[in-house]
Amino acid sequence: MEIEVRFYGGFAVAAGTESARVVFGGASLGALLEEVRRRWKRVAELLDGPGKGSAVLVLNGGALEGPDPDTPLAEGDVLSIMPFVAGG
Amino acid sequence: MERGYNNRTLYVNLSTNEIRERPVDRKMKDTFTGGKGFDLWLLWNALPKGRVTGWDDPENEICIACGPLGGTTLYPGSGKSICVTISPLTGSVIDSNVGGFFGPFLKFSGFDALEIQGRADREVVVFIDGETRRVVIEEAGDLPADTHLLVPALGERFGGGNPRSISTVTAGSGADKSLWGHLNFSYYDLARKSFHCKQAGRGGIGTVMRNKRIRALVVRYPKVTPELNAPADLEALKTGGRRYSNEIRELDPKQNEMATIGTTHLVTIMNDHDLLPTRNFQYGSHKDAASMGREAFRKLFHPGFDGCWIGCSVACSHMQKDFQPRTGPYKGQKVWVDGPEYETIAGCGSNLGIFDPATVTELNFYCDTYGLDTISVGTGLAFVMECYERGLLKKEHTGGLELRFGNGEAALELLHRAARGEGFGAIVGQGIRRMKEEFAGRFGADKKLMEDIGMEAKGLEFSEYMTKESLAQQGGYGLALKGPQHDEAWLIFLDMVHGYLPTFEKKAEALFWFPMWRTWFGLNGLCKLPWNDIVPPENKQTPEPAKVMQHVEWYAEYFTGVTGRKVSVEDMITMSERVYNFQRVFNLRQGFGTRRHDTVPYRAVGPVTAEEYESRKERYDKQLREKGITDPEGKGTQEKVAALRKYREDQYEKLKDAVYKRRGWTKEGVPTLEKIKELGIDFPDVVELVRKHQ
Repeated sequence: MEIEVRFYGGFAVAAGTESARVVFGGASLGALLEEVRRRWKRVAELLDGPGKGSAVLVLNGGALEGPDPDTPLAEGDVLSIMPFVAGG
Repeated sequence: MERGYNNRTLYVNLSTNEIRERPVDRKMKDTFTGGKGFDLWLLWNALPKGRVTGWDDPENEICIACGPLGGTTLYPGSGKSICVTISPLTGSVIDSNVGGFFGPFLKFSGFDALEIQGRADREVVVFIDGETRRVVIEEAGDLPADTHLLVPALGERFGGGNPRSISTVTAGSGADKSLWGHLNFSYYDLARKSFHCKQAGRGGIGTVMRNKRIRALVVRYPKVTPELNAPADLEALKTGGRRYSNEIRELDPKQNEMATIGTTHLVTIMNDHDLLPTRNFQYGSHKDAASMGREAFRKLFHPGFDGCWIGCSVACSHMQKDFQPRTGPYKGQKVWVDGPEYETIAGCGSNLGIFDPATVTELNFYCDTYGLDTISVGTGLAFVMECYERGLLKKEHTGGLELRFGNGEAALELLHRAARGEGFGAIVGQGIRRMKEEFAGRFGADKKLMEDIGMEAKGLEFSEYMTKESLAQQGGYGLALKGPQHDEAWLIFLDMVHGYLPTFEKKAEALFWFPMWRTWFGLNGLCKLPWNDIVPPENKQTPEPAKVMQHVEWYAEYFTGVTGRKVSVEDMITMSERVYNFQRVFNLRQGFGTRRHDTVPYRAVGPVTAEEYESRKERYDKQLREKGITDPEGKGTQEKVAALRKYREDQYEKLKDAVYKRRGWTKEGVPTLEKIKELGIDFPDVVELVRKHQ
């Protein structure tokens, strides 16, 4: 499956890009994140390191609580990885 | 100074040249805490009883206060000043918070607040020498009017060879002519050897300052140390401040990078979530938005450490060096530009259909030096452009300007004309509320359409977030005491992205807690950014991540460390509730502050035009279907727009009911007598006023 992943804030700096098409085996969030971690080591450090509590995953505009790695994904989905956004 | 308080304020009357100190008693501190609370109480007592005070009446005051925690150098974000006056835009009380060194220097000079009343008979500078505690009113003489020239001149005149020792408050030539006047608060950057400014932008306080014929306020205080606030427990402050600063230094680069790129990160986030206002809030995204985002300004910002007060590790105030304007009186000169921040990029950029960082920077520069609020300018010009594109205005009305979206040259020229008070620019500079009257009266423009698309409420222009799809944020703007500014409540992500606020009760709770908590920063002289723009590692695992409760608890410790008063989180909310309700009553005194004043233009609630509906057709059709409003199949767009409008306006009224109930207010939005008594603000004139509205 191929999914668009968007990075914001420190995650964009860590990934070296603001968005990428990610091809991965499977159709779940867990499988996608595994590929993201493999491809971008510095993003993995942010997702799993001391700052992990600030990472927010947003799928098609809705935040994923938890998030559950079994969350199913479909072609055309957009996953955003961002820090907590507090606005003005 | 004793535990964050001087226990005195400074009163200056420009009509009589009276200068005196006023005592601050225990009751004033317990009831109003400081900062905005002190400002409101001083203004309340200064205005004539029994009549509404106009913004340009000499009795109106400008009050500036820092707060008991303000000026602390050991804690991030502790240098805010809060300014209060009767606003020329709203006719009621306005508050605006700002960085820079003035508030802390004023406090270290011996004053918890400054109130300036009256009007001078010539251009003056009010100078406060903190070393000698000498206060004088001087003739301005040949000082320049515009801020980027005026502040260095003030540095020469009052700095005594040490520009770092002074801070100034100035407006600019545009504030003489427009109601959008703001205040520039300066600080001297030792590394760059130049003055820079932060802005108290909202509500036209700079216009009031110029009406009083004040060219500048200057305070001098040469030596700042951590002990100056005389805190109850200096060691606890050092420990707590170090912990907070270390967390920010470690996590900000991994989160929003505010120390490097300020708030520019918000541009792409808002754009990608359909929340970035474009073309007068018609749409929420644009393909070119990234051209004005974090990467663009990362390259343009001058490298360096950019805190607007000593000891702030967030350090979000970025600037550009040697910018050369291509228009206006300073064309071709090399100037510093302080900014832009997100609000300016969205207001003077995307909302005008402009996606060129240089044009946004130039609008930013001229707004600052003319002393005009970039938010009101951006939202105001966006309204004018839409009126022009819809044929409500024609070239013969606009003085020949082709005010189409995306026309940066025309936007800049209109700004210059507004600053000079010239022709069509003079009308525009009075703000959207008056523009609507003038456009209808002079040019026959469609009043009803302008009511729908003119993005002001209570007379104040909206700040730069799209609210159409977030009922909670419609309340965040519409129910804000001073008008639609996001500093009371920013709930869009909680509502739209996280889905934390599915019911009216949840929305009402958020519209209680967040405005009260955010008010607390303004009582104490603090910036809210360290609270929730950098969140602790374990924040997501807490029961209410949006409140960032670990930091809230740190603020309770901070307050205790300075004042010696042990407080709980609930106590801090109550501190704010007292001032918040008092401000609502203040609005009543000025003839506002009831349910009908909490109305917002329909553009803030839903799609006004068929084009807007079509741009989000899938979303709107789905809502019509799922909410049982009507079956969209086979219906024309205008019919669907009307059906959706009826539903959404009804939802907004229901939200008002829920929020008023949670806040302890009547159905008309007035604090109940019981609430006034419970909060201890049942002063006789407050009770008399509130009783009339029960």
